[in-house]
Formats: sequence, C-alpha cells, structure tokens
Amino acid sequence: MSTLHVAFKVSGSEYVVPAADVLHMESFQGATRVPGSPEYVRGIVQVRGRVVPVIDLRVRFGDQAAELSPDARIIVVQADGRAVGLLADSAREVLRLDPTQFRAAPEVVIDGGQGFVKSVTQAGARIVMLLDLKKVLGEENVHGE
Amino acid sequence: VDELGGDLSLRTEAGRGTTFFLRIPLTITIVDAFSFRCGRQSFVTPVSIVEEIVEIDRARLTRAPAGAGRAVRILERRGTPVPLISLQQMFHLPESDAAVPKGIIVRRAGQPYAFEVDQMLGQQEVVVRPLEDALVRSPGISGSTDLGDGQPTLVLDLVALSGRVSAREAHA
Repeated sequence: MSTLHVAFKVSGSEYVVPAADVLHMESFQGATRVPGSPEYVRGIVQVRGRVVPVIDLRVRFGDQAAELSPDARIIVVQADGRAVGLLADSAREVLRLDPTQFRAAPEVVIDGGQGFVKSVTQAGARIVMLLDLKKVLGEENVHGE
Repeated sequence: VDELGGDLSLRTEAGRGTTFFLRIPLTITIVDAFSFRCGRQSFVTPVSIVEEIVEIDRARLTRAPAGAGRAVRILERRGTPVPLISLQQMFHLPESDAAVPKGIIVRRAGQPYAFEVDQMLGQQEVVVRPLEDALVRSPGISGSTDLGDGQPTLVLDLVALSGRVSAREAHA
C-alpha cells in the first residue's frame, strides 16, 4: 500500500516527508530572526494564527543560506507535539510512495548527514530521501545542558 | 476572542438568567508596550519595566576602557552615570544610522541600564504569545506579538537582557 509524501528540493536534492506529518505549506514572506537561536533557525513566522520557528534546511544540511526565489516554501510539520516550519527551495509535488520500497540509507549517508536521512527510495528515475523529522527538528533542549 | 484561541459561549435558563463563558488560554497575555526600531527590526517591551526614555546625544557619551570585553559607554542622566547597552551589537543586527538614537532606561537590582535604540514607534496594548519551541527559546525574549504587519515582533524583557551584559562582564 502506498502512502502520500510531500516532496521538496533543498540545494538541488529531493527530499520527502510523509504527508501525514505535514500540517500545511506556506510561501515564504520572510521571518523574524530570534537572537540567540541556532544558526539554522531562520526565525519565526506567523501562520494561521500560530507562531512557528522555521529551520532553514540549506543551513541545517551544511550548505550556505541562499537568496530565496518565489518558489521557496515553508512546510509546517509536526513531530513530538511540536510544530516547526522547514524552509525548502521549492515544494511542488505530492508523491505516492510504497513504504516497502524504502531502503535504509547507505551508512556513509547516515554518518555524513547526522542521521537526517532515514531512508531512500526511487520516484520514477529519481532518488528521493526520506527525512528523519525528529533528527532534523533536534532534541527539545537544543541549547544543551 | 477567536484570534486569541479562546471561545465565548452562553447559557440561558428560563427564569434564572444568562451565564456568559469567556475562555482565553492562560499562555497568552496582554501587556501595555512600547514599540521601537533597532537595526531595521521592530521590537516591543512592556511599559511597566521602563523607567524613562531619553534622547542620546552621541557627543556627550563617555567611553570606558574596554578591558577584556567590548567598550562600555556611559550616558549621563541628571548627574548619574548609566551604562548604555547597544541592542544592535547584542543581537548582531545590521548597522543603522539613527540621527537621534533613544535610550530606554530600565532598572535591575537598583542599577539603571540604558538600551540604545534607533527610534521609538509608539505605545499600544499587545497580545504576547510565548516562544515555546526550544529552537527559539531565549533568555530576555519573552515572546512574540503581531503589530499588524503579518510578521511576528519580538517582545523583549530588557531587565533580563541587562543581566546578560553584566554576566558577560563578570566572565571577562
């Protein structure tokens, strides 16, 4: 049985998250920076009456923050009772993917990527990476003990 | 009430009267606040913690020796020296060149501290939502509000922020 996944691009690569974890998507109109937050936190945005932090996935994945095009999207996801926005270069597709076709990401990918990628699969001829949202969002105490 | 995430309901019993139920989440507070700009960004701070707002005459500032940290500037207020804290430097905000910067004076443990800002915008009641997610929880930032431009505006606890400066001085 296949399930719906939201697909998006970051630095030229394609990622997916289960559509069930996505609350909604917004175009990016700028964020209010919060001094003292980690570098990969772009800031906070107000969406549908709530304020959510936005993680710049480019920076989170070790790339430079880039000038954003009008295609940029905030994908608001939920995990562990938190709602957090993920900033992607674009998000255009919803893919129907078969969970049994997901394969564990190669070890080098896991080690090199801090475990952000949980598994990989094919969508047609393309390889897409399934994100581990808990890892991407980080632990509750990001500022350390 | 809807915008606050609360609800309003009422119940009427014949011959006894009507009860109104107004429910508002406790996590949201409404405070009287000053809004101001600094480093091309807007902020607000509760009126209740502000002792005074003064104009800063750059020519009359005294620069104390830097030592290990960065230089401390001193503002003279009616014969009392008040350390002047640059919000722009503290938050690493872009440089801005206000013609006449303002100083917001707060008091912590009996000591006055002045925060340099570019421009005062006004005073209004604002709804403060706490920043709950660990990613954006930060001492001295008590929450965010909406000044009507669709972008969140940070609510600053200048008293707590003044403590950050002296804590850093103590470490240096």
